[in-house]
Amino acid sequence: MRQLGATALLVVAAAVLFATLAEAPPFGWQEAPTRNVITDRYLAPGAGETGVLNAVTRIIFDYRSYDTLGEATVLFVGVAAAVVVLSGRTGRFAVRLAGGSDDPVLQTVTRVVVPLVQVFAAYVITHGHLSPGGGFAGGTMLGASFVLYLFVFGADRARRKLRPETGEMVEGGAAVWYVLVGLGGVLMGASFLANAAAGFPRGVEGALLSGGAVWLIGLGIGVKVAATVANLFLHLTGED
Amino acid sequence: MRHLPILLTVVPLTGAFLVPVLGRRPDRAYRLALLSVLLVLACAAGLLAMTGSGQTLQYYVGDWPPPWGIEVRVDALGAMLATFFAFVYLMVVLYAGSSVRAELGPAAQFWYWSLLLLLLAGINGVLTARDLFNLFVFTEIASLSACAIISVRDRLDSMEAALKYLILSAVAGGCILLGVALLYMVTGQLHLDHLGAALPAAAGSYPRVLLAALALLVSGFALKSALFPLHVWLPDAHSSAPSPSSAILSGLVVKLGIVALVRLFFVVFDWRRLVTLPLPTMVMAMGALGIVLGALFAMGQRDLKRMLAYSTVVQVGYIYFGLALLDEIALTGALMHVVNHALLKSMLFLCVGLIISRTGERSTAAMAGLARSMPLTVASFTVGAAAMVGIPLTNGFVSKWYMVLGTLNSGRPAMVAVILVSSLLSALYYFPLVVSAYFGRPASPQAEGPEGPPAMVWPVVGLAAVCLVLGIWPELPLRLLGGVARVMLGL
Repeated sequence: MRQLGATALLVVAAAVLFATLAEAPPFGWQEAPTRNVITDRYLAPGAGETGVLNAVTRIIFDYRSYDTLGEATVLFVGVAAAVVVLSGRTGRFAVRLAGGSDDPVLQTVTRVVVPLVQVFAAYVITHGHLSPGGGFAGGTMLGASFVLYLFVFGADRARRKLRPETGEMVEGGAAVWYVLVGLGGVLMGASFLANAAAGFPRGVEGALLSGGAVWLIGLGIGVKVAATVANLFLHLTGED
Repeated sequence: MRHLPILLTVVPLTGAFLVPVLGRRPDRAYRLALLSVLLVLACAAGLLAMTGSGQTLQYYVGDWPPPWGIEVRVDALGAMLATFFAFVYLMVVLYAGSSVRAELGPAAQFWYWSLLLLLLAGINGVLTARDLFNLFVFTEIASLSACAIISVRDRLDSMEAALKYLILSAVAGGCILLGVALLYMVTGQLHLDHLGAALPAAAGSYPRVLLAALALLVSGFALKSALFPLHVWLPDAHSSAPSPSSAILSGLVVKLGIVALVRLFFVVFDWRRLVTLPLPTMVMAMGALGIVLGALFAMGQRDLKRMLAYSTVVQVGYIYFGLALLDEIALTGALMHVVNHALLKSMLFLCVGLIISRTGERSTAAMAGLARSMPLTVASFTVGAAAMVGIPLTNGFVSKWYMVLGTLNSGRPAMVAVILVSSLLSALYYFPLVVSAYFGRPASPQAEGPEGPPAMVWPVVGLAAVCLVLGIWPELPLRLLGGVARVMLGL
């Protein structure tokens, strides 16, 4: 009875939302309300006033950098909450992994793959202002390389590579780095998280060292997201 | 000084991020948290002094002016709430400095301080947000860390309550995000003022999208602020958390949804157009139901913390009721009640925390005869109970009186009965506790000695004192909030 009521409610809600979307402006329409002065400035060709060639990175790390700081914080809260829930509990919530795998093929391939993934991740992180990707995507790859190592070689060896305390300190430190870059704008006489307006150099369009504060923040986010992924898996695989 | 608005969020964020780096010992983490909260209180007080003279402080993050960048704005309402919330936070942090050692395991302790600071950043972010997406981001920071400070206790019932809260607040978050997306789709704006300016044009072409967005946003924020009947998660969540967490959750976190809806109703959706919809009536009905039914549920509780949690449902109902009247006096009262309830409910939860840590019991029977061994705690509890009922000279009286006047002023004399009946019901569950604390016979022989560590007792007394001060001299905050109400109603 209860499930029937809930299903009926969901069907009604879905019907209302479909009726709403039927009215929506068509996808990709040139005269859609979202095509306005905001997007014109955001999507201006070239590196323009921000010095950042990649339009997505320009929006999330410059025009709306404060929101991105908030999103990085959401990740931090998530890991802090997971650590609090999992730590000090004797395997009630944590999954105990077996000591990894003995398969020589798996181990050898992992040994080859992990450094390649990490090099590519470093490339994605450092080129976020020029090409698709950036701190969030590259950081996830960097974290995933560690997770792969953890699954193949077991939690104990992974823990020797990265102690949970170190991971937590790196994550906190990278988040502080974001705030410090933002405060750099204040020190230079502009507002919090200001980039070109504060005098961070825009650099040559398309060069690796361009984009001012955006490049610095991207580095921090890359390290932070990698630490987030690694910490989450370290704690999910149980405490000593 | 120009940077004060942004410091309200940046200071606690920095403190929270530094905890795992510098404060891995609980005492150091505590000192870091205390320092951050003191700085936030100083910033908020400075902002209150500035906005009190009628100034509104605007801050363009990254120096991008709206509509391109994100604006952070502190008006008199934001500054006042930030100041009182920071004061409550300071008292709770002082109290928790002694109490978490007993309530939490060593591993959870230093993270607890980090999470408290993250929650404070989320609260201040919501209070100062002037951009709809930014409002959503900080609402999520606050909700997630609110779940986390419930689950810190190594007990299954805390886990279960936190999980329930997490799922429901994720549903609410999804509703809000979808509402934001729909509004952006038809206006192309996110800044609240620009959004409000673009809505009349959009209403012509996309009336159903606007209605759906409004419904999603209202249900999302109402769920987060436990408006009846969306309160089902609250009693478990607020009663199974550690006492300092309960104080913050019940006193401050439920108010965030209310503040967000206040911004939406009075900045984005022009209330004159809202009045043509039945929405204010619906909110008023839900508020009234929460006031009466919440009080009935509270009467049935034998657990002190659950009783206080249901009382929060009642008080949230009052605030929504006052807002939905769309009357200047009622609005002033409702906003004042946001402040008053923040002080009162956090104080009551800390009182009960003291009682539980001393008697080891959480049932209402534990109060019997406590006045002799815990005079300060019981005196503070009495102030809180009197204010909840609405006895003159307490701050609860002031806000309820304004809401009664506003109800009459808006031409709905019948609705006064709701407030009066509920006050009577509140008296029926609060006063027996006070009477038994003073005149009852203790069930078990009482322990000798002081009533608790001074660091836990004095914050409670401090909060009670502020409640009395605001009850006796309410003119200044009422004048400020009256100005806010006039601006909101466009008078």
